Amino acid sequence: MYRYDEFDRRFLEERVAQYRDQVRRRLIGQLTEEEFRPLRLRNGLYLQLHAYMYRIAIPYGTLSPAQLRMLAYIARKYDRGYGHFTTRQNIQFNWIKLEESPDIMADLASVEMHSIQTSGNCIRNTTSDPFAGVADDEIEDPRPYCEIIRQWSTLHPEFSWLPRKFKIAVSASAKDRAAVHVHDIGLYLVRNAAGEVGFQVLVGGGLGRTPIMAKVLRDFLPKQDLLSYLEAALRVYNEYGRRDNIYKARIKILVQALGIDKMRDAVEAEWSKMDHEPLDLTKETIAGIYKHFAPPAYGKPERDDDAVINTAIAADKKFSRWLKHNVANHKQPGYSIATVSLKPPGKPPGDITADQLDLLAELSERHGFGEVRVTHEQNVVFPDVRRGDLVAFYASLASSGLGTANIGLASDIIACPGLDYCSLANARSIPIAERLGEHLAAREEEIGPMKIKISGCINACGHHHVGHIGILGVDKNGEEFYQITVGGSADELSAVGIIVGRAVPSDEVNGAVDKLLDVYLAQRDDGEDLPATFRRIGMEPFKEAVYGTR
Amino acid sequence: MAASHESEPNVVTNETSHQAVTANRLRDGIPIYFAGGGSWSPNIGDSVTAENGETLLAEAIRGPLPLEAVGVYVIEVRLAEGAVRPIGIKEQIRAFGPTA
Amino acid sequence: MVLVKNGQVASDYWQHIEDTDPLPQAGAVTISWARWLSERDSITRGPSELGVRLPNTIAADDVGADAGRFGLITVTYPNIGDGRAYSQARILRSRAAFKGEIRAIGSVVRDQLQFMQRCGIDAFELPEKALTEDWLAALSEFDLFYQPAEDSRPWIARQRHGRN
Ligand code: SF4
Repeated sequence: MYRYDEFDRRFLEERVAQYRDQVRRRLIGQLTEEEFRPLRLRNGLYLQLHAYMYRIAIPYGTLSPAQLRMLAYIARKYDRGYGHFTTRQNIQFNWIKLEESPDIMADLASVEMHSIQTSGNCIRNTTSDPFAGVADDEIEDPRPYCEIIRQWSTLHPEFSWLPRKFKIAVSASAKDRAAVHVHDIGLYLVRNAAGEVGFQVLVGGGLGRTPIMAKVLRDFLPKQDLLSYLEAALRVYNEYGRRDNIYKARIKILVQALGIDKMRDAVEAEWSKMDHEPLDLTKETIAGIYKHFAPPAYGKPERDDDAVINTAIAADKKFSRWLKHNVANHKQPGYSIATVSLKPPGKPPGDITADQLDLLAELSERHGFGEVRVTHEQNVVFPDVRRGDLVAFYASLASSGLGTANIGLASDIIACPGLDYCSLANARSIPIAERLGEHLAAREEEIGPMKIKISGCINACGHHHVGHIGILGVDKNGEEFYQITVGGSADELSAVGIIVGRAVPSDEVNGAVDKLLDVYLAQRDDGEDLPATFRRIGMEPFKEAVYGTR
Repeated sequence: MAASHESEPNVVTNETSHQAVTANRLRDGIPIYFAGGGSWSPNIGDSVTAENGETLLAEAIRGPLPLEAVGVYVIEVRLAEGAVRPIGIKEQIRAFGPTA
Repeated sequence: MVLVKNGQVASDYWQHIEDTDPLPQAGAVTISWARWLSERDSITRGPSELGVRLPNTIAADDVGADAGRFGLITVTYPNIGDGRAYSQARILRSRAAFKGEIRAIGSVVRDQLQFMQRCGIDAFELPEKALTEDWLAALSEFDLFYQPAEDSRPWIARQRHGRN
């Protein structure tokens, strides 16, 4: 993974010193809250219902054991012993004191982490495929480009005060595991007719009040031009994005207003006028970053790997279930990609305790090359587990409550913090997710792949629009209600779910979801996921099941 | 926020309907409640309440707004057996912590 | 109001003329962009006596070839969040090759000074408290940068390869 050099380290020290002084000025009253707020937000600090919430960037989701241990330390020392992984490969702590936040930032810097630009109207943490570098269907490792973008976007002098937040995701596989279509700019590594690798550039995706899937801005962008092209696109957005209405300020609204063709013309025109040279990615720059992501020293497959696994499958139903759902193919023979579920039914999705963080650190050293990835689905990936070690790895997880075998199933629910923590929320998400996960666990094997996503308000941090089943908390005269959508999807066939009918109170959510699932199970063709069935049969059967005929 | 109560005639239609003033504390962000006489308390039970929260609000922010109180606003509360209980799920969660 | 130019307190010898007032015969003046557009043909002052106040809704490319007519261009920040003037300043420096003073006016905030400076802004109109609260220290809070901009300072990707 990427390791800081002297420049990165000194830069971060400068940032910590700057932030410490900003906090000092606020605490003595030199800065008003209005003046301070944008400054703390650009360092990931929100004021929520119970305390400050601190959001830490996990660039493209990658964490080392030292970083995991530092997060555990922060959870214990500054928080209440747990954190929450978000849908954008960040981690949040909920019980932070402003006066301690500069110390946390300094602690993070000691393990090459920070919270820069995890909030505010600027370029946010660049996200990627959690299987990057190990996926068997990948064109090229996307992480080096994420790192290049991370550096370029960090305290960018021109683009730190945009009309609204700006999110970039990079993926390199045919199977999209990074929700690229719902990003302001999405980048797919692709090969052109001449066999060269470059980027397909998408623009204008996003959820929230106006969910829109990104459109193709450019079919093929040579690698060398990545930063100059991004700079051109950001400049067009900075100049022409709306600033009069926060709900219309994302780049997706600009793209919608201009139309994708005019948007493309504007970006290309800006790009053609710019001096590219300073931003050109030279071969040596790319190679310099790439060497941080060189594949580890993989061992040869052991002859008895399969025997060990097969014995365990026969002996232990739980292991075999876990193997089926949580383990994916690795590009290297003899290795597997294992996903640790942070969705034990009945628990808050994506939450992790300090002890669990420590355990993951230890396991990543024992079963892998000291690296884990957090996913936008709020789970943790171990990218390099030897096949022969899977049994032992699972045993360690299971004994610590991390052995849930539900990746991609109905109880693998995405949920935002909702009204239990978030000051913008209309309704709670976590209790809904807990009850629904527990309720569905019994039949999820029969249901098969299923994405259920819950947001506590229209900001859609829980990505409800792109859930096969989406649940959105709404407020009706001070009461919590939930609006349910079907047919959404965040993969390469991305789609926005459609509202089934009037919102239901919290105690009717489980029943409504059951009915939607009944329709799906009764009507699906072989191998069809819910969005496919929905596309084929339409809304009527789903609506009727939940609300009856008129 | 207080408009509907202010315009009501001065008869007690709901003997427990009151208002209080809340904020978050600057240095650690915790919810605090205006306790009268320029003081704030993390305990909602210490709140001063009134039928018209706007008057309380004016009192709470009189002079320069105290540095410690961030985002001051009025909330609806109920006085039940002498205890102050916020009305609405959001303020209840703020006052008593997450439910999950 | 305090004027800071090239990192030092400076006196403002420019007169900022409202659209309704006549231009004085001599002396350095700034006029609005709208006035420039309507009176440009009759204005004969040289660049050392002519400045223009650019609204942040104007594409900086529109200044284009006119840039050489001005000794000062002001760019404006209506509030901390409105960052359009950063792009304007960069375009003025990089494409219009403007060499005169670019001055930030409006809501100019301490913690943004270094961003502004990197975008090519070399003068700032600041509130009086800027001096007592040592705002100028903000101009040197960072000496490492991850991207090229309109200042001549080195940036990290180049420094790594031993180039400045
Ligand atoms: S979706 Fe709404 S409630 Fe949930 S975390 Fe985002 S802003 Fe808060």
